[in-house]
Amino acid sequence: MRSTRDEAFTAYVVARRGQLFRTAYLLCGDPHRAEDLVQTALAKLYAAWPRMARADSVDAYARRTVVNSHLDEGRRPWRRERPTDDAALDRAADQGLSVEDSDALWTALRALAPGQRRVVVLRHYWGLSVEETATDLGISTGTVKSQTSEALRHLRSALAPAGRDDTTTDTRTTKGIQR
Amino acid sequence: MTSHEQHEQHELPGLDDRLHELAERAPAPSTAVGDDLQRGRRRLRRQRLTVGGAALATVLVVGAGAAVGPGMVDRAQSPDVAGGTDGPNPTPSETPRAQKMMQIEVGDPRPVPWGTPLDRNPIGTGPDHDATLVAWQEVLAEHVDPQWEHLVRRDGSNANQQSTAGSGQVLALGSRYGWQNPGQDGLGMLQIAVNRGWREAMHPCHDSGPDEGWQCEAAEAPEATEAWVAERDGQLSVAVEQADDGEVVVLTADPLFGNNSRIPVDELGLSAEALLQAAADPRLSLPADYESAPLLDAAEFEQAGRDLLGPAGADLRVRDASLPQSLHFSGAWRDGRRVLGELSWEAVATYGVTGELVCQREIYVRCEARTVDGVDVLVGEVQQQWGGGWEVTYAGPVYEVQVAFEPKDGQLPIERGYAFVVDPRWQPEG
Repeated sequence: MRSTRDEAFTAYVVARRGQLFRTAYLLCGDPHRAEDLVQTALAKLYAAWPRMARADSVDAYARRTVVNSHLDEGRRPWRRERPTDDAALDRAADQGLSVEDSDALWTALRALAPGQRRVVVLRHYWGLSVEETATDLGISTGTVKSQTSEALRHLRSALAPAGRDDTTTDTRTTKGIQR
Repeated sequence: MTSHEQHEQHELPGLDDRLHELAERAPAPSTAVGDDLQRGRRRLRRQRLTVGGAALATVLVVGAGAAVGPGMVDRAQSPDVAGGTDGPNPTPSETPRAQKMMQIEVGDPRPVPWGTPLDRNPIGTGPDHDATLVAWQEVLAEHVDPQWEHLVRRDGSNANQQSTAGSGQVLALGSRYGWQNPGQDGLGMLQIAVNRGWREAMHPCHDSGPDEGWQCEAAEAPEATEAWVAERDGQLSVAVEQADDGEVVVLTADPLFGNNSRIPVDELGLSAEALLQAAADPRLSLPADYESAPLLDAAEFEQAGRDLLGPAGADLRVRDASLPQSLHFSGAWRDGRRVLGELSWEAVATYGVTGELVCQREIYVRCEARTVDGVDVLVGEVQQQWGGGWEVTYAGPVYEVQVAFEPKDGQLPIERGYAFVVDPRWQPEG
């Protein structure tokens, strides 16, 4: 059984660790905290593996643990959400989103209230339904809908073309991104 | 998708893709899967609760009524049929075997505290290889620390073991030995892993090229088919495939023994050549195949589950997810079109390591222990988000046996779970 659990867990980690890390990163904006969250989630997942595998709930459990761990950390006064000053933003974009788009989206995402950000990440990064998101977060579907609506309103406003130019200029200057 | 959701999507098109692109830029650290595995094992070890003996001698005994939770139908409340007090009763009769199995002696429940600290070996690691790991440390010392000025001798206070085993074979075995520098507070480590082959080995230079941050070089070692040296930020790791048996020895020197210290030593002062020489030593070889647990008869185990757990005549559609020494059956228990519950039963070889059971806060509402026919059984009330119901587990000397029931429209007397898990047929003698 040990090898069975180990093999299955290892396969899952290989397949999913990156996505869990990126989820945590989108939630907290700090790669070190994100790594802590993922390590915690995976350790819990390993211990819970037989039941989660039996219930075909491995993904849900890992995802919820990441989100809930972030919730727990957010409640600690010494780990409150803080403005973005992440060195990761200094890295040049390689493809897809331009640096400007990336910075603008990141800034807009960071400006969301933590609850709104969680909803956005679960719904638009993980692609969960309203009901699934409500289950993950332990809130009502109505709250999910209202938070999503509010979050999208903020994002639309922040990502509007005129505002985006201003934002990215400021951000690049602050971060010293080489273009 | 609701109209509201469609509205949301249309209001901010492309958000999903943009989030994915943004997330892809997260600077993911290079973390070995093996590290996640070790952390998981440590957590599992911490969460296992000592059942029986001294740990439970100090807890209070509470009444049976107070200790039985939702979905956990007690004999006193529902003598011998399924259905519960307010649900349907689809099982008016029991088989003689089931009736017989109900004659078990069940002791009073004992609450089990969360997070009892444990120092024992984790369950399911295969045999204890302490003697082998002590001998390997002696071999390494001959090569890299003949005066024992740095290596911390392996003993009961610092012993650790990482192993992968299956079907009577040790596939990988290793340990982390402490490394101290005189006059320094920190603790480094020299880690060894001997693997059946490259498939089991974890080394940053093999397979898909260098892992992030590692510098790799092909190397040579005595009597080696293949050898690699990897370096990263003060860490030095060599891998040697020994020509005689194809086993791959991985030695990693790290200034920080991450599990046991926050303070690194300045350096280990070990050269790649010295580690290659050590890794090529033929005495670093996996122990012989161990005597694995006798295999259970999977068909008998499945049928027993049908006979003893499910009610007579129940429609139990069983899924089989069994492996040798790890039997697992599960199925939906139906009455016509109604699903009365999800039932599963499994047996997992324990390799003789017993006495510790899981009570994990993320899974259970709470746990309790009961003495059933003279042995200690753990009962967990499962959180609703994972389906609710109960799990009954007995970690026997040969197999750990568990029954789980997630109620839908029906209930199942928990005594059936007790009777099944302590059935002596699941603890065969060699």
